[in-house]
Amino acid sequence: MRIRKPIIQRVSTLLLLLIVATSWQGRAQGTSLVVNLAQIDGIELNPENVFNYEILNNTGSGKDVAIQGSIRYRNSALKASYSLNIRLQPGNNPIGKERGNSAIWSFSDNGLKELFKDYGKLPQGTYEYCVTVSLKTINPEYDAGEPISECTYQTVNDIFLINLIEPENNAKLYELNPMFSWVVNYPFASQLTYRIRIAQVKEGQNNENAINRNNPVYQDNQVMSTSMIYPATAKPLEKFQPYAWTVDAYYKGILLGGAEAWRFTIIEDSLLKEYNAEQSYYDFAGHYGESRITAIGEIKLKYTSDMMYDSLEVKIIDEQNTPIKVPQVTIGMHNGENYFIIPLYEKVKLGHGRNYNLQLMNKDKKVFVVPFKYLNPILIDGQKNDK
Amino acid sequence: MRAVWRYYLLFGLTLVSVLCHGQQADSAIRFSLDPLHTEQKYVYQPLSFSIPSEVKTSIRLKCYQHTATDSICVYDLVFDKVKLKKGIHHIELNLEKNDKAYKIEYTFLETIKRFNQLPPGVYITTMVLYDESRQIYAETFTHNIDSILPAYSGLRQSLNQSFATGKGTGIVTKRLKSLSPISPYDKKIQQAANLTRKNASRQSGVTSTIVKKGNTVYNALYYHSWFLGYYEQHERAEMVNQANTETERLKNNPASLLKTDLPQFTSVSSQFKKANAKDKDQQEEIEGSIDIIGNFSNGQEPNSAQDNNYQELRGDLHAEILNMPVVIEGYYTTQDKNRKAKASYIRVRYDLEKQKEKLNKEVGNYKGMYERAGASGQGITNGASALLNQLQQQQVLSAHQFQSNYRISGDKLMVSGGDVEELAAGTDSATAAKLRKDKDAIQQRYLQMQETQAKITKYQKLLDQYRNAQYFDSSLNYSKIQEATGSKDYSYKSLVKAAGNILPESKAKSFLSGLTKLNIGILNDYESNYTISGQTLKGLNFGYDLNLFTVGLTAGKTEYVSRNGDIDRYNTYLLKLDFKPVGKQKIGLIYYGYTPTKQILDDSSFTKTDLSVPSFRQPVHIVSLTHSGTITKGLQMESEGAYSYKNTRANSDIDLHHTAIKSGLQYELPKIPVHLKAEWEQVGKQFENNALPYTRAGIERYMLATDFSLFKSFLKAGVQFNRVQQSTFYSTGYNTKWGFDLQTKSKQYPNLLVSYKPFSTFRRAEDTFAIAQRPVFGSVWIARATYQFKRKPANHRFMLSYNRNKSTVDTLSYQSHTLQASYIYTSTKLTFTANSGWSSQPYYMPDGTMLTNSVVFGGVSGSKRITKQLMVNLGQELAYAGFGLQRRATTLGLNYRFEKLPFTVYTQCRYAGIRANETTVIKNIWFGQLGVQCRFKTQTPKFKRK
Repeated sequence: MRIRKPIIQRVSTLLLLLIVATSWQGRAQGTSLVVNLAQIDGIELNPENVFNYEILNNTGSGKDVAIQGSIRYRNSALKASYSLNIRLQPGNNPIGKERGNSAIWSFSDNGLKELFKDYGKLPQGTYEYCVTVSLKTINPEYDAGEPISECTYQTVNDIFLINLIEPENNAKLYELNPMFSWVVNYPFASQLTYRIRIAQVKEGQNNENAINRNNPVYQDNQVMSTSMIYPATAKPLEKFQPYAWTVDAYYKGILLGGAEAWRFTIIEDSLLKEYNAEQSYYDFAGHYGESRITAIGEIKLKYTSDMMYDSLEVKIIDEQNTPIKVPQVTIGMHNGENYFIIPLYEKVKLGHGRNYNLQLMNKDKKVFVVPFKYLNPILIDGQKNDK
Repeated sequence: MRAVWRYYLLFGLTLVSVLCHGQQADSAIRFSLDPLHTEQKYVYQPLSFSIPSEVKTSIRLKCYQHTATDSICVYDLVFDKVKLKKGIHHIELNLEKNDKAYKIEYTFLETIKRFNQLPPGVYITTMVLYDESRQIYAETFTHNIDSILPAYSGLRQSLNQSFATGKGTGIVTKRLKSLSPISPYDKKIQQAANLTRKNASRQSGVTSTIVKKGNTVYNALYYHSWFLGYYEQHERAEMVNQANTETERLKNNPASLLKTDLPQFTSVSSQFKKANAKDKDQQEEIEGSIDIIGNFSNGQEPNSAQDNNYQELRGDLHAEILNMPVVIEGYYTTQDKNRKAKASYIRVRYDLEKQKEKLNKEVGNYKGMYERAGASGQGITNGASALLNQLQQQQVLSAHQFQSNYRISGDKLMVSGGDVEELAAGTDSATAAKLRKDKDAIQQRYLQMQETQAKITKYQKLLDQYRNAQYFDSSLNYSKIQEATGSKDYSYKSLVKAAGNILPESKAKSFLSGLTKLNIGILNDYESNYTISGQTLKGLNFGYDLNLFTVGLTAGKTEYVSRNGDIDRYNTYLLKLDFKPVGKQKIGLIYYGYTPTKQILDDSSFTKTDLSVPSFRQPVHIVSLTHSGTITKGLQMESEGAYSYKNTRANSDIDLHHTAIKSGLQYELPKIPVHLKAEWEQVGKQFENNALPYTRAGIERYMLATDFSLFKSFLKAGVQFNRVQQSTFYSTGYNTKWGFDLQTKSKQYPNLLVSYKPFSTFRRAEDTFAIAQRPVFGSVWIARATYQFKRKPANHRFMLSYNRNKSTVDTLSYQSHTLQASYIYTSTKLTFTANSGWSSQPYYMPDGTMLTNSVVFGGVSGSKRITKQLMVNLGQELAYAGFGLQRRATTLGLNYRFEKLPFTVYTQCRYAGIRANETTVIKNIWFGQLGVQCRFKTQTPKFKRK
């Protein structure tokens, strides 16, 4: 047993090496031509770089080959292909633009042809670019072997220079039929058509998800201009419902790209801020702080006098120390607690929301200052009134 | 005379000593022991301390309960090798995990565990710190527990609950009634007292007796032989009110239950813990909402891509699962049937906001209690100090009288223990005779002085304990909480850490305290601009706060939806570390990677060659660095820099082509109302993130904006400049946009807004030579006026707006306008809206000629609240184009909210006739919507084990 085991091991190792060597030889035969697309891997194709690849000829002799190139889009009928016949020298054969000039191109779409050939641009989407090389033989009985194929993938998703203008992102609009404006910068801008999409933004969705995942409430594929007013015939837009909108650009029916998605909401002019109309009497003499009270049409004051006969002289000055004319200048006070109201609305000319100081001087010439903010009662909503 | 001065000097020094006691208490060593409390089936002894150096010590705790009649040692325990850290700290000693028990009353501990309260009485606890039999420190603590059953007592809550819910309040047996000693005429109180007895007897081991003290009737409650306290009895209706009030106060205003009187005072944290102890019978609430909407129609308006008939279902549920608050939310629409990119989703997420809200409420309650204790603190300290002064004075005077009578100091009297013979030993014969003669009076004086001294010691001790408790409340809890909540975006964990001493151990040290995020399902999360930026991801998102930094992990399948509606799925994974190195700076480091899924590679339109160049299959790696923070006062900055790379790239040097940078600055000028904003973004041509919803590769963007207010905010003006530059591989284009805004803001006069936004496009000169270029320029004008006033009983709002767009390419000019106006009348029950408009828009004929389409449109609608539950709305719209009537539509809607059920039902019906253009005929479309909305709130169902 001790002797047999190493022998079996040696034999099996030898067999394994034999198998590997055989398979390697087979592979070497199979890869006599190698296509190398590394130069254009990860780069968007255009007429200038589409032939920037190499073919390695390992056969040891010059060979005539037929090259088939194809650009195919995912989920689309768009396709471009070319055929090119060249002679490969032994070793590395860079193809390049010059040798590619003799290629015969065919396009699935005339728009695609113009885009690619004239403007050097491919439409948006993920495409596959495959180069297939097959040996050409004069004698049909000679087996030329399987064609060699190599592919690369690329996603075209670069921003097509469309900028949305109005309504601004997160705009609050008052119009039920808003106007949408955008601008596009491209050599063939005048030949573009636009698709505008307006979709509801559901709770928790961002603009992109809303526009991509919700069925648009309005979509127009044939917009020729760079502006559109939401038509009266369209499904009415709802107030306080956020909407996302975006614009895509098409060249002869081929999607080139689009703008980002912006959001707008139609709102109403919000009601003016409510103030509590129930004002309490303010004991100014016992207050030493710098607090400013709110006076809605009037000031309610409390004053405790320890004199048998007392009076308060009233003065109102604005923030620039300019006195404001007050109809009743002196108010009589009795001994003890006095509750009184100084009417301001339609009696004193004061600005809504402005700050003033009320100066009160008693018989002892002691001056009390009451800073207040004046609110015009007709311009505000009193909570009391609404209840 | 000299002796008198000595006593006054002594009095003066005592006074200074009392007044300055607070300063003495600031000495390096300080201990505070609170009464026992229970948590998670254990009883703990809380201990706060402040020591100058770390010490490893044995602690012996010996506690006696003194009642009016008895004194019992309830526990005498030793805890070995207790590490007391240097500085101010708090520890909790588990009484059942002691190292030596000389004595332990298990029924006493059981009482605390079951009812979250100590039996009433005076507890005197002696704490001795020793090391190998050498005593290091010793102190005695006194706690006075009131005989009224406290509000936080589990037994009281259970009895209250019985009254509040009316459970177990059936007919009382005659046997119980006969036990009552109260007078038979007060039957209502007797009945309530008997009900309490009946309910109390349901708790195993609990017995009760009805007693009357003065005019108040109580139930004296016992657990085995331990007296638990008195439960005051009133008429049943009053008991119900009292029960509800107490429950409400315990839940929302525990500060009102705080005991601040000196004998009963224990630290705020101790009182808070008891008040905050979760009742084991308390059930968590479940909240949720469900919306079901059905839309029915015989057709859609022109250009609407929505289905004719579709249904939507939306729901969310907020519940607590395994002590973790979670939200389950979902949305389903039948429109998804007809598209690849679905809008429906379902996800489960950890409800951090609710957790934070609960914690904030607890912390707020503590702060309320602390502030209340603080507010009454000065009064209590002053009162106690005054009492001490009085007692001291009394003692000094008593000693002075004794001195003047017998020329023997008061100290000697106290040392002699009132023994006349001992006092007489060192005196002359006359004094000795006098002493012997006044023997009874001297002994009485001694007893009186002894009693006064005992009182002084007692109050001095209570005052010390009070001050120490306040000191530890402030330094261990309140100041830490204040500090933690000082920053705007404080984390949940930082607050848990700050409030660690007042929260239950299980909460402060739980795994959940560090959890910042846990979302599972179909998510739309945002991590940064260039990594995960709101796209739909099926997977999970997890975040955890590790104090030094927060770690985040996201993994799943990200869906990219193309503009054609096709979906590409990528396997994505993200690791994020967030630091807060200094002050208000936040730095994030993100690694994000993705690979195309089989779904992309297996596409039937592709060749699927095995030897394809692998770069597309290779993972794309993005490393991103984010920063946000305040640079100086008013200056905020937010930036991100990201770099994308693939392993296959030959040149791995960092270059700008693979980089994306975005930076934004905002500055509020001090003192003047001017706001500046700047943004810059540069995305390299080869920056790759195919999973982003919107790729900006090859873009450089600038934005500068300012807005400022004039005339006391009456006038607001703004200027904005935007420029986008795109450099594709062979050309460069520029889009420029300006914005000038003027807006008035007044409550008295109509408000005006005027906005002018000129824009232009431009291409580089060499590009223009290569391909014929057509620069575009134009502008958008917006003018809007709004006005509102109130005339009883309604508000009136007016709006008028004008929009114009003009763009010019070569000699071709394109202009569209719209003018719209609206009026809204709003009163409490009625809303009426009228709107009208005109629009003029050019359109192109197939032959390229441009025509203008002018439309006049308008509508009126009103909604009225018929009853509290029912609301009705009605509307009519009309639109006329050059060729005649283009649209007429009548809308009717009803909204009904059930009063006693959590449902709202609404319906909307519209009948419209639309003629899209001159060449078509009018198409009649009816549309109906029926919706049901349900908002519910209930308690978590309890499942009993059989």
